[in-house]
Amino acid sequence: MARYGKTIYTLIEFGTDKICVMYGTRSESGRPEVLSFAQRPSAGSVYKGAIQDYNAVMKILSRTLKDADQGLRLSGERGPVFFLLNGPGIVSRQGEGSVMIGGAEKKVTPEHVTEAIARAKSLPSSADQVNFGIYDSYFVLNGTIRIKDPIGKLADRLDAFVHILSVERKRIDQVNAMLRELGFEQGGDAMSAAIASVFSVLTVEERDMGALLVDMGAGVTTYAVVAGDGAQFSGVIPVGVNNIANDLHVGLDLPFEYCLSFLRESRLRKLRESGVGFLEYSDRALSRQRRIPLDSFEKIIGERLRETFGFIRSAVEPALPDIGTGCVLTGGGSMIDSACEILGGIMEMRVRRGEPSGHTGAMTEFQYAPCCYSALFGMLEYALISESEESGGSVIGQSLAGFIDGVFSKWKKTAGGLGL
Amino acid sequence: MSGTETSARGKVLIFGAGGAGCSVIRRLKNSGLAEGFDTAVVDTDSSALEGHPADRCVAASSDWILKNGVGCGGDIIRGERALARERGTLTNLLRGYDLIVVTAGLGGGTATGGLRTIASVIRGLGIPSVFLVTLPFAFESFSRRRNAEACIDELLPLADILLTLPDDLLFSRLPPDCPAAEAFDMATAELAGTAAGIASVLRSRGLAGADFAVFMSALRGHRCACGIGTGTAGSGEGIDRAPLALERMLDSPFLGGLDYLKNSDSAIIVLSGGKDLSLAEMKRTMEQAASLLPPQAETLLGTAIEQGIAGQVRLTAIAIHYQDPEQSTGRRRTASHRTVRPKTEKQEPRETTPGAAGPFVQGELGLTSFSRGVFERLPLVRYHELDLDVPTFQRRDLNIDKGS
Repeated sequence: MARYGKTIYTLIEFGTDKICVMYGTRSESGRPEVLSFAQRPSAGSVYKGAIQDYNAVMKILSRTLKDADQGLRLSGERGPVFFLLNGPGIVSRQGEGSVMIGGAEKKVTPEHVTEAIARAKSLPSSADQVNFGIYDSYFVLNGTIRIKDPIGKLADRLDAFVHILSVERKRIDQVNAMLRELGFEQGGDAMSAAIASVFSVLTVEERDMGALLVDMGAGVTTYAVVAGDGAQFSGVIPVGVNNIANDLHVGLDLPFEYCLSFLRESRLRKLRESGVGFLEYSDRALSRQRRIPLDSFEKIIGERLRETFGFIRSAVEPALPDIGTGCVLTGGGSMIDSACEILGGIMEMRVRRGEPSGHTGAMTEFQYAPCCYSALFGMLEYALISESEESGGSVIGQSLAGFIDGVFSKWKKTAGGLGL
Repeated sequence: MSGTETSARGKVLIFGAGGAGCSVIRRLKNSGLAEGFDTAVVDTDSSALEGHPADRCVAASSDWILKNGVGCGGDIIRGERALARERGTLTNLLRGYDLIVVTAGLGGGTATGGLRTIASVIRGLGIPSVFLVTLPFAFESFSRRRNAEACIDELLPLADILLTLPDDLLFSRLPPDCPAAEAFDMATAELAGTAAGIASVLRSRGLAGADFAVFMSALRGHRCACGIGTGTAGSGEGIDRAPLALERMLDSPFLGGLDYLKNSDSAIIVLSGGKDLSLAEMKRTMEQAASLLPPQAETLLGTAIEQGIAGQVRLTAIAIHYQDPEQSTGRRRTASHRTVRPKTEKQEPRETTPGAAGPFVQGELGLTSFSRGVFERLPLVRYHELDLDVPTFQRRDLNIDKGS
């Protein structure tokens, strides 16, 4: 096995549909590089992003890690492990902290910023909850002027706003216990799937001007509003592509797996394009042929998507004025034909389908449906940003800052907040 | 196609669906109101299409196999299936228009089942659409009303503008001894006039606040009951034609009378005239019309110049009664107030006690069985008190055609 000179990051996703492991690093050009990737079906051990069967997940993860190791063909310094946290139970809040600016000059210093952020982070939470992600949102000077970077500005008061994500402590402990059993002594860092996708899918302009990111996975749909220099809203809705497939399964008496493949293969669009008004289905159980109107599929899918996106619209209503560029839909749900159109109709704004881009390395696995791995790619980019910050502006760090444009370089994750 | 007017505002199609829709188009053609518009109809009853004066007729079969033309018999699944089968024909028929006004009477089979398909086709073609539909009389069967309500739920997200006219409004203007046949005939005539009036207004060159966007801002995505009235007066009918048009508008059976207008949550009033419409006449008429509206209602007043009504003025009023809880309070809506709220589980019937204020609401036994499908044995995850693993269409009590 060849020796690799760079830090190799391990990125893990416990998805409702699949458990994925990615090894990634930074390429010579400073871009995120995938070294190896492996995935195995969750087989019911993960439900709506939350681990249901610890032992089963442990087995699957162990095998997936082995698969990924086999594909790696390199050895190197193992960097931190990152894993995606998803599902209901993740609570997002906005923390606010203020400091008065003293002195004759009334100029905001880095110390003021640090203190304001520290106060914003000190939002109390219940004993069984733990903050696993705290991200800068924005700053306000004198209660009126919203600003990205307040250092050096004149003001009497500085308010810092942060976006805080918390979850039940046992969920993080559970994953860390699993990782330790598998040989990762330090455990891992949790990251919200909604925030992770932001790093891989949104353009610099979208992050800056404001965008709503919706990531519809198999079990849940996550969303995040980013604007200016930080996160404003994020959340999870316990509805995913599996729910749509289940609706078709219940409504049309079709096998669940058949409905899933119907959605994934965009068969509704293909049938519409071929000019037929119905699906010929051979019902083997009843030994009969059925003609199912395509309108029935459209109706069931449309009802579910409109409801789900309606929830998101209600949740992000206060942040709508901050969304300057529109919506980006990613995840497996973005492959459903009408999803973008329906999201645009509900949000009353432009929508595009988002896919991770700008990555190099072992990308063969992602050619068919890269949008299904947005969060995983985002986690890799986040890991590299964290590395840049820790290295304190190394050559590599600067090149990454050029790539990411530094918009999110201020986002801080508080490992100390995990209490690990 | 005959009667096409390719004006600056483009081609407009008035499309009738089902028995009532066919009757409306027939009335439109026979009365000359369809001048300048294309017309088309679709129905499952082939006898209703025989000798129909519409420019295009589509005979949809309610049976997959037999292809007969005997109608749906009020079965909405058959209606849905019939129009779904004709989707390709409908797409070709509707393509190329700049505005489509669809008119139908809800409660039966063809329109109630098939309007969603028509809406879906129009949306797919990216054409602005107005759906002008009537709700059945209160004395008609409960199932007809329920089917009509379900159809409206399905149309709301697909139609750009959905105008729902309760047939019961006719009672406000018709005498009790009016023969039933005459009442239905009048409903058809009024609907025909209203469809032509709305199409004219939307096609015309709006001078102020009378365009499609104004209508959409008041009506898009909102469940509401509307009263619609039109009144036309010409120069030869007296010294002052505008007050006469206003009076006739208020007498329109589908407006529901002055009280219905005064109690509306929102109202749109459009004054249409030819090139001879003067500023003073416009100002005076709109002031008079505005004085009839409640002060708390959101009011949209507009003026339009139409090529076809030289020497005449026409007033069109739409009194909107929102049925969304947050809209029916009469407060003025602004962009920041607009919300799309997720629907909750099927609404419980209001509890009524003897002597309590408010109308009695007939309760309904909760016999609908919900299925969680493959999630049946998995933990229940609630969101806003809803079990989202139960299919949305089941929670919203929608009919689904499983095919045959």
